[in-house]
Amino acid sequence: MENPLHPFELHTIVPLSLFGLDVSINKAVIMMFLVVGLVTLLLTKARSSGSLIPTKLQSVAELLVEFIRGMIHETMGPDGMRFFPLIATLFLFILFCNLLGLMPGAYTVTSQLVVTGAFALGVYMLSLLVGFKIHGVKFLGILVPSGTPGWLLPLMVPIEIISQLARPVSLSVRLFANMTAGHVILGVLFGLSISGGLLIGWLPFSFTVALYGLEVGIAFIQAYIFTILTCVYMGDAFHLH
Amino acid sequence: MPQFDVHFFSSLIFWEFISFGILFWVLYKFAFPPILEALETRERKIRDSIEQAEQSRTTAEQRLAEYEAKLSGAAQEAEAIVAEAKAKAQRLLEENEQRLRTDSARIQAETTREIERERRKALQDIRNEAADLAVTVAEKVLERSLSEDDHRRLAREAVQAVAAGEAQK
Amino acid sequence: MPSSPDPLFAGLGQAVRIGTNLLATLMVGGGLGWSIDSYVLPTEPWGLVAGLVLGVIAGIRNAYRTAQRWDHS
Repeated sequence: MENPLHPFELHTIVPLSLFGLDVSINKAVIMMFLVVGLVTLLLTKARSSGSLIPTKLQSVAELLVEFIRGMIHETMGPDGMRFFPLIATLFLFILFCNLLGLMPGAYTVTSQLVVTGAFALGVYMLSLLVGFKIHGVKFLGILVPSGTPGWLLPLMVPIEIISQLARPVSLSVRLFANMTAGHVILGVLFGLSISGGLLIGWLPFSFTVALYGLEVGIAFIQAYIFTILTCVYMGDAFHLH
Repeated sequence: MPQFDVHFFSSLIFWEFISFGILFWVLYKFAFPPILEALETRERKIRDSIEQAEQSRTTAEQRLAEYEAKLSGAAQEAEAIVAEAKAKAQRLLEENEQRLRTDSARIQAETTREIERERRKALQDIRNEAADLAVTVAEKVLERSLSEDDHRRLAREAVQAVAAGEAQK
Repeated sequence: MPSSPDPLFAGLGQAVRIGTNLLATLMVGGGLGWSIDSYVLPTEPWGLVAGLVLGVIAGIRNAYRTAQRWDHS
């Protein structure tokens, strides 16, 4: 049986270098390009009719926009709509990375910890930036939970620092782990059904099919979690206590 | 795990930011504004039509209330007219009755009075006649002229006799 | 896709969040403690121990907070 981690291996396809930095094109990078192309195509096509009675694609796009708008309103309030393009792009990018990765033979970009880590760190840094920009130095008050008695401060501040630093970590690890685990299990089951042959192979195969549906759901849920947590962190920056 | 192959990190992060940036820019510039706008336009339109519908409903309700009020007013008016007519008829009837009753009473009384008067007159006539007759008869019988006073006394006695006879009858 | 306050979606999201958060705070706490041990103070291994303990506390605290928010919503 083939190594279940084999699908995560990358190979340089087009070697490239920018100022001494290795920026070679590999399968994951091609998947990113695909995601950008597909999302652009879908969303620009969705808006093209622009009529009051929406087409199917337009309805889906509007549903999506409303969904994200709802998230922002709930966590950040109406002011948060400034970040709508960022949040929506983030959701779409992650969602389509997750979904396209489910195609047989494709590569799941979000199963790379560096990719999810870069997103998480970027988003977290942005929330800190927004917080300091709005509240100035007072934003450090986020490390002091409201209603903490003075003698507990030496304990609470380190705990809060750890909580804060854990945010990007949990954000990136969650997405990476979910995507990786799902693909590993799918790969193992599919391998079993191939090697099982016709006689008993149908059992793991039906599991594979069921799990595939589950993975599609997880692709959505993980994209949703990443996005809503981004909104929550941004919201914390907006409304200090 | 192959994901921790450091060799690919730089290119992955680089292209991640590039593609995310491109996608962000494209969607920000071309996709989101029209979709958000369409959404808001539709929401506004729906809100407007709901408001309009609500307005028409209240107008219709108001009209209905007005109409009903008018209708009930008309019914009341008709009722009042009928009642008035009835009352008038009743009044007329009573008035008529009253008048008839008084008239008949008056006529009756008048008739009675008339009869009484006639009777008295007749009586008086008879008395006078009788007195004259008695005087003549007495003159004739006695063949003598009595004094005026005798005449009168005799006449009165005759009359009283007649009257007494009359009363005894 | 449901619009945001969908209970199933939000509930699933929160359920999945709690576990990873515990792991993350543990990793960060341990990492910070270990870094202090290795580079800042000669406290080995107490920095690591304290970091792990604080990490666990932070994780539980976050889970509690998430659950509370869940309760309120």
